[in-house]
Amino acid sequence: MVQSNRFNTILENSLIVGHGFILILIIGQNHIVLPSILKVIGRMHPLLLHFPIVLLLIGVLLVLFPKVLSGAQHQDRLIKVTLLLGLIFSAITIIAGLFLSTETGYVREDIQYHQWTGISVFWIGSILYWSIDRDFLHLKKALSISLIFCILITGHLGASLTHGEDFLWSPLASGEVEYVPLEEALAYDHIIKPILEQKCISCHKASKQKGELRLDQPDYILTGGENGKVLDLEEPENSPLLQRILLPLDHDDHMPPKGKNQLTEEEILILQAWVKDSASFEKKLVQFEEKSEFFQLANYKFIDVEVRYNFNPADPKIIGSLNNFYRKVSPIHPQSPALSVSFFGKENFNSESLKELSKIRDQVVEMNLSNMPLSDEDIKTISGLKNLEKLNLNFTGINGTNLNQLKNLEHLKSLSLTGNNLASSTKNILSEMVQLESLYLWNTGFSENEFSSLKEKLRSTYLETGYKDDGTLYVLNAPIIEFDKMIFIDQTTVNLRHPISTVKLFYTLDNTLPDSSNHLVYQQPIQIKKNSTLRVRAFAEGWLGSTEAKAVFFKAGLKPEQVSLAFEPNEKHKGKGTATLFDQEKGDLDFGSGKWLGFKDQPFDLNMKFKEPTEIGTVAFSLFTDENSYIFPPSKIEIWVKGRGGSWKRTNRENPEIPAEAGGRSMMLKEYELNESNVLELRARLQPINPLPKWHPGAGQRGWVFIDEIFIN
Amino acid sequence: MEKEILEHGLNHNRRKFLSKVSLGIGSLALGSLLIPDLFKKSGDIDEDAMMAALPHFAPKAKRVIYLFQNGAPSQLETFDYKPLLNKYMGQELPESIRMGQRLTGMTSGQSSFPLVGSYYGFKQYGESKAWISDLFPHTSKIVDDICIIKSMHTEAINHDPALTFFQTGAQVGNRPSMGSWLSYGLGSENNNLPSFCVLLSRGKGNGQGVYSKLWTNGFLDSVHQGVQFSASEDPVLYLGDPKGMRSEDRRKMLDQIVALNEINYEEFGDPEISAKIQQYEMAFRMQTAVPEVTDISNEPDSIIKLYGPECLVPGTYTANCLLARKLSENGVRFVQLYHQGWDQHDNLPREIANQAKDVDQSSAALITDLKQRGLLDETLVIWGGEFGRTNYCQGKIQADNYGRDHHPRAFSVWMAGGGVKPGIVYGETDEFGYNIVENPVHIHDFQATILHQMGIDHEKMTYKHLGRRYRLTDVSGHVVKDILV
Amino acid sequence: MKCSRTLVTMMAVLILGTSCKETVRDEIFLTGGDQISYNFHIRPILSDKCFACHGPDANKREAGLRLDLAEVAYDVLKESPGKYALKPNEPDHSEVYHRITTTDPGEMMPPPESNLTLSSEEIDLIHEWIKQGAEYEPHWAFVSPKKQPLPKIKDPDWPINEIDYFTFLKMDRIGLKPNPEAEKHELLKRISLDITGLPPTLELIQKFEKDADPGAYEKTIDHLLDQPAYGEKMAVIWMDISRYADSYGYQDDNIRTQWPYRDWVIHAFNKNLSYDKFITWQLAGDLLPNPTKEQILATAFNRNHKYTEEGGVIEEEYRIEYVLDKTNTFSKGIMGITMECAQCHDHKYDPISQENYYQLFAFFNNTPEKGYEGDVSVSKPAKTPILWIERDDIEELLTFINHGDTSKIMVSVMEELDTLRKTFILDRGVYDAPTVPVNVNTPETIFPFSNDLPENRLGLAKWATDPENPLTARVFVNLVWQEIFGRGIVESTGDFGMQGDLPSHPELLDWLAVDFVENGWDIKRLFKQILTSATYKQSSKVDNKKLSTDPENIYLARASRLRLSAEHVRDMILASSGLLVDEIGGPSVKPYQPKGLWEASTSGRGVLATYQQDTASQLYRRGLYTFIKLTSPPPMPIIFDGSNRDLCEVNRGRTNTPLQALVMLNDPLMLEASRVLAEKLIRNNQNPSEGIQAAFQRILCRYPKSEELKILVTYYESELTRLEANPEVVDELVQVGESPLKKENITPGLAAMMQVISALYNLEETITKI
Repeated sequence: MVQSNRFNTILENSLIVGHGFILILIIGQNHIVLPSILKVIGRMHPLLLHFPIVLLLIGVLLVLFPKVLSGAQHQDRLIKVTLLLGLIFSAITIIAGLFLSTETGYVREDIQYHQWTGISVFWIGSILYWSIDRDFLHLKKALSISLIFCILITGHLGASLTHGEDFLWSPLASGEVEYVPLEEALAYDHIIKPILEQKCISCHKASKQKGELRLDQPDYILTGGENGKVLDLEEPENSPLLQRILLPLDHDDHMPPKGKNQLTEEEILILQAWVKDSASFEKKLVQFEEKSEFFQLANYKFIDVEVRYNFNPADPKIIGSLNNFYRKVSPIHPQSPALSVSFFGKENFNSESLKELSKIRDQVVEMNLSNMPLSDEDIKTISGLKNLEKLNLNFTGINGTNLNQLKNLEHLKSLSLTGNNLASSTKNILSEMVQLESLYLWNTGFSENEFSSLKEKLRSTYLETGYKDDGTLYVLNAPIIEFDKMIFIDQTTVNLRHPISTVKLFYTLDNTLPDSSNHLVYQQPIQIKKNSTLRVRAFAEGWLGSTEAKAVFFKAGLKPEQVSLAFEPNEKHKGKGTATLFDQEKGDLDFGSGKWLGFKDQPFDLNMKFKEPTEIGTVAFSLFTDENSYIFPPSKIEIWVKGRGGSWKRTNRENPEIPAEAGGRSMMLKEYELNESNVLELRARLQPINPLPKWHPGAGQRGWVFIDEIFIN
Repeated sequence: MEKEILEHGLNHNRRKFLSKVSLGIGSLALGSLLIPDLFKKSGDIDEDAMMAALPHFAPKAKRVIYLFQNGAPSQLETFDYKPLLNKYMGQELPESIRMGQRLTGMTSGQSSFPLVGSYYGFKQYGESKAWISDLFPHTSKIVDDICIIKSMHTEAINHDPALTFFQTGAQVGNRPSMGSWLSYGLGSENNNLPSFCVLLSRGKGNGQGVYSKLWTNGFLDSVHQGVQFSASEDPVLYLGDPKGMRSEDRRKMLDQIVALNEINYEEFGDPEISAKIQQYEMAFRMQTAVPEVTDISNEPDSIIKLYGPECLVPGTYTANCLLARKLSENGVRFVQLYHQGWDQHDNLPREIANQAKDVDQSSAALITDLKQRGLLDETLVIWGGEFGRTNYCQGKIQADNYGRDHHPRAFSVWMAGGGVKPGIVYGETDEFGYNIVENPVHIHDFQATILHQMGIDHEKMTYKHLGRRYRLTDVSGHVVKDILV
Repeated sequence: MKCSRTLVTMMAVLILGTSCKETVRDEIFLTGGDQISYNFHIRPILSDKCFACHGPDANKREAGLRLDLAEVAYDVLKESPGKYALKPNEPDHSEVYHRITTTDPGEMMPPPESNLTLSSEEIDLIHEWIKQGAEYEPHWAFVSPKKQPLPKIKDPDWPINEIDYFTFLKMDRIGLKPNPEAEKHELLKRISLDITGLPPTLELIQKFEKDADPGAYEKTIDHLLDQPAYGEKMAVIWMDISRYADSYGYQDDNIRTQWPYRDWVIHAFNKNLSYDKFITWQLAGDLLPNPTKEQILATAFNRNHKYTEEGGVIEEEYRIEYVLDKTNTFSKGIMGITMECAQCHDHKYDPISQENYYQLFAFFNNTPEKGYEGDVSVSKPAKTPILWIERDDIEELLTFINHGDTSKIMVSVMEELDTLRKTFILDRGVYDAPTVPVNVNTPETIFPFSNDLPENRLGLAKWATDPENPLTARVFVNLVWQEIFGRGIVESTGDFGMQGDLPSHPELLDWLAVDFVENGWDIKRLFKQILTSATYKQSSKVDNKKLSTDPENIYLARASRLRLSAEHVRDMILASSGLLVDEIGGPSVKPYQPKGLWEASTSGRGVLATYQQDTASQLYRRGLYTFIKLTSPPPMPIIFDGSNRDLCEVNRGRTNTPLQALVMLNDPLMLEASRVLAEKLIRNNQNPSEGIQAAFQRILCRYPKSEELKILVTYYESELTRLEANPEVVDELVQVGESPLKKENITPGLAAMMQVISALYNLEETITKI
């Protein structure tokens, strides 16, 4: 008991001290000089202020509604202590506040009201305290109420100091950022004014005309302030308005003053550009030169304004939780509240994954559902995303009858229905969606006149109908020949394929080009038993016959006991010498692969000896041609045989025709009938072309002969 | 002092560690949703914070498809119409025009530089009245959707450095490719596919070869390397399970692996172990996602006609164009095609005709296809080679047969979609088609513009490696605003 | 201490005081200390944020101010008389401090357009530094290292050798205790991988287990260091540094034969050639008094870079390109300092001028090398100057070269011109813009080039291997440290310059470097020294405290858990399955590779247009020998962060991606290895469970825990039932790889065991150094 009494008295005394100290401070306010440590205390003001507010409010409420504590012991004491503590704290807070006010960056005028309301809180509070024990009920009530009032005002004024003018009300106002299309934007109203409002007007407005200057109305701006005009229309760049904002921050005349919210670099540039460029208050933005600095800058600023949305961003946690491997939710760009959603992987799609988006119903502006299997119900869910602007429903298997649910999406600008077989009734639904700027309807089963009638209805909508098969016939691509070996022992099996399943495959084995006149139709795998050239083409309705596919097959033949070349093959293409010719390994189209023998300066001249007299039906040379690489068919091919008689006899001789143009890399089989019996030796001579024909870039030089196998049967 | 070095170091390294996790695993496995969070923890103005702010502003394009015409198509037979050259056919190139342009070893020996005009005619198409050669009947149909730039220029005069320059911003060295930069900067849209895919095709003409260096991640994390899709049965290397292993069997095995790894994690508590588990799950998802995307069996007939039947033959340019659309449609950030065979030092008229035939229909088809799916406005498509070709003849000159050497000073590319102005022609060359006379666009400007369309400020996206901050545009580059919507 | 504590309190107050404002100041971690260090606190900031415009680069210098030199920084500012950039002890009168604190865009530094900003923490550091007198120090890495006395530490029982004193001090400072020593089997796996790049053999495992002798560990280290596999392991690192490749790079990318150089590197490491010789031979073997062919072969180091065979290039352009590559490789790989920048302009951050660069360049500019020797059609496997290696060379001197047939081998090597080729500074680094002529010299700021040295590559080598040279030893020691601990004491292994990272243990780095030199640059000794330290022997277990205070394990209070590098992943699979063919050296080999990679990217010219896969034993060689075609490097190593060998690399990434998972799951080699091992085990073990244990031991080098074994056995059984149910699958599964498979061995049991083993191969632990 005694204890707490002493406690009380101590507090009361310090309260009195507080009053004194504060009085002194107020009087000598302009002469305060602070040691830095006190500065620190000053800066604690924003922290301290919370205590008195709470304590005093509690205290006052107890005064007003004593019943709350009815029955509680020493009710009055409790009230008194609360008030007392509250007052002590407000004292400290005020002192701190006064310290803080001495720091640069605060404009006296702004602080005044806050300061005085604050102090009045203290004083009224004190009076209330001393009136507690006495019983003028009305006085108490009156005091209490005015106290509450003062506290609120002080708080608000304080807030505006730190958080800027009408911090309290701004949330209510913020919704009104109205969107002006570039065409209508006015240089002053939509570009300059907003800047002034944010950064200058707080001090230069009707209610507070620092330096007798107002910047809240064009005519005031033109009039200027106590130091004369702020805009110099003769020499714009000398306009005080500009000079002030360009001064270094520390300069006393710098605007906005140090500690105030500064202009951004961009804003400065814009103001500069605007002033230099006639500082017009009426001009529309578009009336400025496209090239003019002001237009460029403003236009940029403008784009920013344009993408701003008037709904609040979703909680990042929610966005995070909605992201998974098959659903991507992300802001259209970091600063934006608007979200775009894409779905991937059709197996993992289900209606739930759409419903879950209800948490971000307001923020979704773009949605990509292409290839997801959608149901009627899903469309309904989508219709709940009321700010949706862009919707992609390609290949979602919908028939469109339930699209009417999307009518109410008034922001929907772009809708893509490509690849859905739409019921013709959808046409009517779509024709009412006038809000659409673009509509994509390729491959939706609509007829030409359905399109045109839709165009009628949606005059302001861009209608994309996509590619139409105009009936031009295209050449089919060549079939694919599948086999395991080009050289076979007694027979080999060949399969033919074509990527388009509906085609017919015509082929020949006699080295003639298959066409409607001469061909076999491919039914089942082809069995090949002798040296042959397979040529295949594909034909189909609505297509031109394909280019040909070609393959050469060789029956492995006799192997002479001894072979020798009169001239070594060229150094760079010597393969494994004569071994290459009978290794039954077919060279491929890569003639550098070492499976080919190349001859240029000397002819290919091969002598083959057999153990005993042999019956020879045919001899075949497997050659390679690629005119671009100077590789041609031989200009002359000769074959000799030597029998028991021991004398050479030429059996064959041909001058293969010289190609009239480059044909690209291809294999060539030259086969000759001999039908000689008792052959002991065989000689073959292939002459490389020389000179190359006129049409060839290397005309006049020597050509090549490439050979990789010889087949004797 | 020791003490604070430690403290300093510690904080710094914690930050670096976090950012590494977020970039490495973040951009692929855990999905980019993690990136912002992790970045928040890494407070300081490093790559990390910089990356956190990506894209820097609202992107116009979400994806890029780059149809690279490797070997350098002649601008004079494609998009840069110069009738004067036909008029002065065979006459010497005036020194006043050449102005000491350095020559490649192939023509530096040449005693004379006879001008040669295009063997193929040109006509005007579309609202832009753009001149396009008769070699591109399909491209001329979409002329109102594309923006032709006739004033590209580079410094490189040989294929390798020129290509490397285009892809990495530097002629030599081992720097990250454009696609890697974008993967690094924007992460992947679809977390079950790589964010940077590469498709290769051999042309009909003289091939130059391409180098994996062109899609390297350079000093960036290897998750940003271009994934080369192959024409064989495994579109992505090692993707397919071995024969006799069905998906459920694989799943079963993975479950054992997870179980065993977790036992280890219990004991050692190293996050690397759990990261490994993540990667295996990711791999498993890729095994289903990739085939789903690359499967063309259920494309409608009209698509096959649109692209041309070759689109069914894997490994052809046409097939790659179709595949590119499918990948892009499924959220792959950057699809890079390379088509070889444009290097016509001789035989130009014949060879370039084959090349054009090879790419014309499918390139145009890609645009049409994206357009009809409502994707063109968010997909940036680029068509072009590494430099241009000379207006004078290399080798023997004939009316119907001539060649052209490399020419860095002026060449043409086209762009479409992704916020690029459609139906315009930008830049002009002199009447000899040798020098640029209006709106030159340097490689770095071109790269800056692409990044800009993806919402990236090319000067802000940097990566510090061995003491230096690198960026795709090296030290220069201006966004070509005039060609943007 | 005091001042900084008040600083902290004031911060605290401030934070509280402003807590109800929206903007919260970022936390500040400067916890005080008596002296702020220029090297450790200030230079990193200045170098990173200021030197670009106020540094060594004369051309880019703004306002004539340079902040890298005290005298200039203290001097009156040229452009604003009476003002000082830095006024020691007076932050408020130092323009620097004013400029970094002002918000005026006109004055602000770094200027807004630079996109650079100083964090509040950095600003406070600078403030403190100026207050304390703004003292400059020379860059730590450019001062010759000195051995510091071993620090006193709390727990003198822990250390095994000197290393541990330094590491303990640091971990203690941040309040971490060292981990207990790792399990025996863990240690064995660790040293075996670190020394040979291979898992320990079963025999070794058993031997080591049994051996109770305290010296067993050291014995085993010596044993492993004697294995030829050690040379191969080391060669892997050196191949990255010497950017070794089997093709020329550039467009047609034809084949070349530099592999004898690789054989030499293996040989050199195995016979423990001292590092100074190792470097000298590679830089200037040809200039040594009557050099042996071996010494000349070593100079191939400078010829491994790319060579163009593209028709129509300008010769000089590429010749210069080659010399540039040599210069950069030397500076990055051996001196650990990145000089590329100085190629075009004075270095922005390090005191290396463009002149310095071309003086160094001059050393390599004096060879008969040509820029272009014709296109692919006339391509040869080596380019001038060429070293011819005859049969008898191999039999007599170069016995280490593994060359099957009798043909001569040609290797590109170095050679000096008799008449000196003039070197010029090249404007912007462009070959056709020569300006001022320069002579050979080295950057004096690093270490002056004494006059009694010959003015050629030999001189350069002598300069580099001078015991006083501040970089060479530090850089190599750091490289080895990185190889073993996964992270260098200086993390930026290739950049000890001012932009590089600071050493985490400066005194340790210096101690090791000096000790290394004092002991004759003995590499094997260095390895043993590190591997026997208590620091190395810690277990790799990690708790949350350690994870949160030191996630990257910079302070080494545990062993790092490191994924093997690409080559060693392959080696591990081959060795554990018994497929490995341990032939040393020889030409590169072409193992399995997915179809069509070379074909898709080739120009169609040259002998490497199509991939001609090797057969038989050549399929199972170590990763070191895999053929590297520059324009289409082997996919597996690339997926596992291997270097593409395009340029000199000194540290690889260590990422963890789904593509790696796919390789481990589906690469035919992995499957074949599983099959082959399965066969072996079935042959040698009666029941599956034993087989599985054996497999586990071979692959993870330890006995399975009972729970692990349980999981595997159950898996085996369920697979067995599945496969017995569909025998057709069995064949599909086991028919993989070219190693022969007996018909009668094809059983469901084999396939099931194979599945279990490939599961084992896919465990994180398998390809990790635990």
